[in-house]
Amino acid sequence: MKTPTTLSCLPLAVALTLAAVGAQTQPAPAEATAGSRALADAPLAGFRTDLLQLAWRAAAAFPLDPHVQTRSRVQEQVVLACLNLDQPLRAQRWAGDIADWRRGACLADFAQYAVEHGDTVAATKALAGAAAIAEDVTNDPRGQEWCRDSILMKVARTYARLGERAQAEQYAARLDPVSGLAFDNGLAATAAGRADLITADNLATELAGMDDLLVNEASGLTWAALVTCVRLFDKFYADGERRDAIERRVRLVNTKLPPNFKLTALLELVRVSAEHGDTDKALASLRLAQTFFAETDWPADVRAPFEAQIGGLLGRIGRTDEARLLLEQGLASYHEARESFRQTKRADILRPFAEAWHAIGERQRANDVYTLVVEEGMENPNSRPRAEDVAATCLSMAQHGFEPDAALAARLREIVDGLGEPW
Amino acid sequence: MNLPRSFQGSLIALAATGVASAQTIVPTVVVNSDIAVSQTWGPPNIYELDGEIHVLDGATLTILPGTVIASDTTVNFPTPGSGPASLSIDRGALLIANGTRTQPIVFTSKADGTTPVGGLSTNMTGSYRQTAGAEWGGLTLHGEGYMNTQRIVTNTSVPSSANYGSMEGLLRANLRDYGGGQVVTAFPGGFTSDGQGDNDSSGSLSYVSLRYSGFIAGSTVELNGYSLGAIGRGTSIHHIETINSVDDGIEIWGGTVSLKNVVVWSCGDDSFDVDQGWRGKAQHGLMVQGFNAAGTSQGSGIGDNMFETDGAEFCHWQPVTSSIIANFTVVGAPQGLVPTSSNGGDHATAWRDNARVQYHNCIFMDIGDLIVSNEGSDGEAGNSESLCTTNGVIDWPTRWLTSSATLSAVNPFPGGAELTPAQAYTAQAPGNLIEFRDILFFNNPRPLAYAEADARGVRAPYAGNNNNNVTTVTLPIAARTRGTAVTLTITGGTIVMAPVTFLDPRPVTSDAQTSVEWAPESYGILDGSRYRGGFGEGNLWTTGWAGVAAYGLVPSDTANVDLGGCRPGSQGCPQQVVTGTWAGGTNVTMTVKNLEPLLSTCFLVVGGFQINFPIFGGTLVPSPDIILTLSGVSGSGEASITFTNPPGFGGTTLYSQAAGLDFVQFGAQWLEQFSFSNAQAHLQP
Repeated sequence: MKTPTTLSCLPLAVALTLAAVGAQTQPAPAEATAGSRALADAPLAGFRTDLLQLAWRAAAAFPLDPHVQTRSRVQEQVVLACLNLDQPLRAQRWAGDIADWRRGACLADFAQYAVEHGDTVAATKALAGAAAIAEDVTNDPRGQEWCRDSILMKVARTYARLGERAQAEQYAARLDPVSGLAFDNGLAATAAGRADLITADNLATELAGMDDLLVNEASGLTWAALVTCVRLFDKFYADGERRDAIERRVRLVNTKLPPNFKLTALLELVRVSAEHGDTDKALASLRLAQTFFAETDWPADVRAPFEAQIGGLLGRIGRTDEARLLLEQGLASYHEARESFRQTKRADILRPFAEAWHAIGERQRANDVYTLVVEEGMENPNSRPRAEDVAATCLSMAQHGFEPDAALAARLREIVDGLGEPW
Repeated sequence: MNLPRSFQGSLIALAATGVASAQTIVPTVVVNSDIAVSQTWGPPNIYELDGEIHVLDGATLTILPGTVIASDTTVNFPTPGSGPASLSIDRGALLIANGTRTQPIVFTSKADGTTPVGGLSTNMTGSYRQTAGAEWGGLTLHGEGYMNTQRIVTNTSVPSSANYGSMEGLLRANLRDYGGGQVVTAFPGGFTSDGQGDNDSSGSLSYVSLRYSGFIAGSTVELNGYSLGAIGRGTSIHHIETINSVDDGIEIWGGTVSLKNVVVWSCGDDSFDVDQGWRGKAQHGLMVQGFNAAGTSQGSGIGDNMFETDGAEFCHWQPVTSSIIANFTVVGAPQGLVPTSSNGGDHATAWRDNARVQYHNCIFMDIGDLIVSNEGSDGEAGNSESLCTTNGVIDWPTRWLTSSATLSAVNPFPGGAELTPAQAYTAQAPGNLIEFRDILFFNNPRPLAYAEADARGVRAPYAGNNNNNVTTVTLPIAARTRGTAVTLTITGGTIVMAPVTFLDPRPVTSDAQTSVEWAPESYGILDGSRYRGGFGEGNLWTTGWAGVAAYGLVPSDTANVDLGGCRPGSQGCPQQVVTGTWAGGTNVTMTVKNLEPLLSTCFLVVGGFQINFPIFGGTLVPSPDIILTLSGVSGSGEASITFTNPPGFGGTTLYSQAAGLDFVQFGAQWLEQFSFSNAQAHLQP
């Protein structure tokens, strides 16, 4: 039963990351002290800091027994929002307060952020901490391998990013041989790196290599290929011929793929065109996406967030009246179908509408809908779903830069202050 | 609102005329509405479910150790007479029902007057009622993991977190769903948390006994002992039993939940029934087939298959059941007692709709029909094995020869915000999609019982991955006693069964005591137990909490109770075998097996408390009050020590566990670290 350590069990995501690193400049292993740039929290508007703190208070309010799993998951969401808002020190501090295995996962994510921002010292220290927590999880009689492996996978991937291939291989080799296969969810993330490596010279060959995946398959590789195509669409935007060749592939993606994936990719093309200031192209792509949206039979709880997303994009490309109309229709549809939605899912379904109103600059309407989101989250009499919802709403506002009015801000504080029995 | 009874009491004796006295349980709290607000139930109250009670989305029901829930089939909620009493944990709700080894949580019927209430001593009383069943509904849990069924018209053949199912047997249509976690599609970017779905938690159940449950409203409209719909792997379930369910003992639809230390006794349909893409694991089980409701039919009161494994409702849909079962002792009802083909139970393993299950380190004995029955599909219109094969599904013979790393390419998981195929299928061990390894077969008398199994090479030596399977002619467990054969009248005929009246599942022969390989290790769920069947030598994990022990259907051994907690070394889990009663002044022999051969030293740790302390890469269960050194581990990896138990410790519980410097596996690496045996609790008389 003893088997030697080999590279054969290296999960695909790590292998891809290693390959991508190797194909680039093969950076030297990071020095612990030289060339490291200390991390700092970026300046952040006061209201956004307040919202992060409120979200954290809501997450930390859960009693450990028996809600440690939910508490830790919500805390992880707050920590990751901090990283997305360039608040690494806050993220690191809060990560240390998480009581279960997700502390290790958050430390590994922090390490990834630190590597990306040049602080290899902080990254190395956080990786050691994450690895130690993975060991603790192994020793926990209630632990399961997927929790440990969630940490180890991130640790391995970050070591690969650091250029420390041996360390990456060591941690990847510790993954459960079976569950280790599962952690190829980095496929889509590494697709971005893959797109970086594709040049105008090899684009046609690379696209041809993806054709079978896009047209005939319906798997994680298909999704990764779609993500790669969207990245390439952005990269070659100025080259109309190549851009169109890429876009054709997204449109022709296999119909076996669940429609939400194709629609997500189509909407991403709209966003990219809008970012390039190409309103006409964005609108044309959006019309195609809308046609696909209209032709597809969606469950109501899936349909509503997409309506909000389309509305937001319409507003972004200057079709404000149309956006308003769509968002109002979407809200009306939400209210019609409200009773069919699970009570604890209603805030999640509604929140994208608030984000969309904010995206098109309708501040008061966004505030109104956020208020509705908050009250939907309070429908349930128990603090567990209330805390989840209020934390998610605070994070939504913080990440989208929406400042609630005084009344809504006060209501958020009141809700967080009121969290308690019954959980 | 829960109404208190006007009087308190647990057991009220009722006089019976002309027959032996009967007893009923009189509940003190009647639960006659859904539970929207989190609440806690606990002794000394006895709870009655007066309807199809749902713990609603967002609420948490906590049940304390020693609580009894006693119900019946005559209910008032939501309307009088609306089906049997049952408890449903809806999506988004949590059930925290953790009993203890000496204070189990018991779900039973009000007619079950002999159900013990309270601690270890009273749990050791009571009498079993062979023909009782369907006296209340059952327990259903509804999660948000992936599953699939074509019965919901909006479901897609490709897995989607929007796909959902509807729990059979429940009558309230608006509260029956499972699966269908909301789809969140996001383009990758920034740092994101993993979702819930397959990692979802519906709570925690341990030391729970469910007795005399089940409900049959129609064909495939049934309540079981417990029903698990799309339950995620964040849910913890161990030390749980179901006795005399009129339908299945356990039924699982989709999801990834795993089970450990499972008892199913005399259920009226399949003992362990899975469908719609279950992708979990199960280890340490005792399943004994029988009947509980004479005069109904096989499948509704009379035991059917031991394991019934459906891959998916439509065999080319996904997810498809891909799971592993290890260390189960499976005792069927053989037809050999009455030699007609219609007698006894059905198959050891029935296979439908592209199911993939690995069986490791199990005992299959006394099976009434076939060891392996390939049934193709479960008969849905437009669905068949041949159609699936045409659609590209790997056919039945090939699944036995195909690596478990080969994931189905037909309607695969799409990735993205959903799972990738590799993320979705994590339960199976390296090997083949279907395999029998280290299995012991005994007394399976039906002619051609092994025909399909042998056609797949199950008993061929070292054929593919069907390795190390043995067929013995000697009873592999300590004892099995059957009562008088009973002729059960069913529609169109009769079935004869002789119920098991006593069974000591501890292994007694070398084939059961040891195995060539050990169960795959995935800590937290599967340990590396190196024996066949559900019980290691000298270890009865049913003692103290299980109804089958309370009823005397299996023996109890309070002197040496298995607590698990091992950490495998190079020979699998080291196993602690202790003999002696721990009475003061008497000899106790403590032996540790499956150590690294010729290991220089093994430490035996004995303490007065159970601390579950992670140390040296393992779990030390006792407080380390005394550390005994066992030198001279033999070439077969055994060491032992005999000592005289000092007098004067009556009533004290000691805990023991062995540790030795060994080779411990981390993924593909072997590192020199401590391995740990299972821990044991020893109650000194």
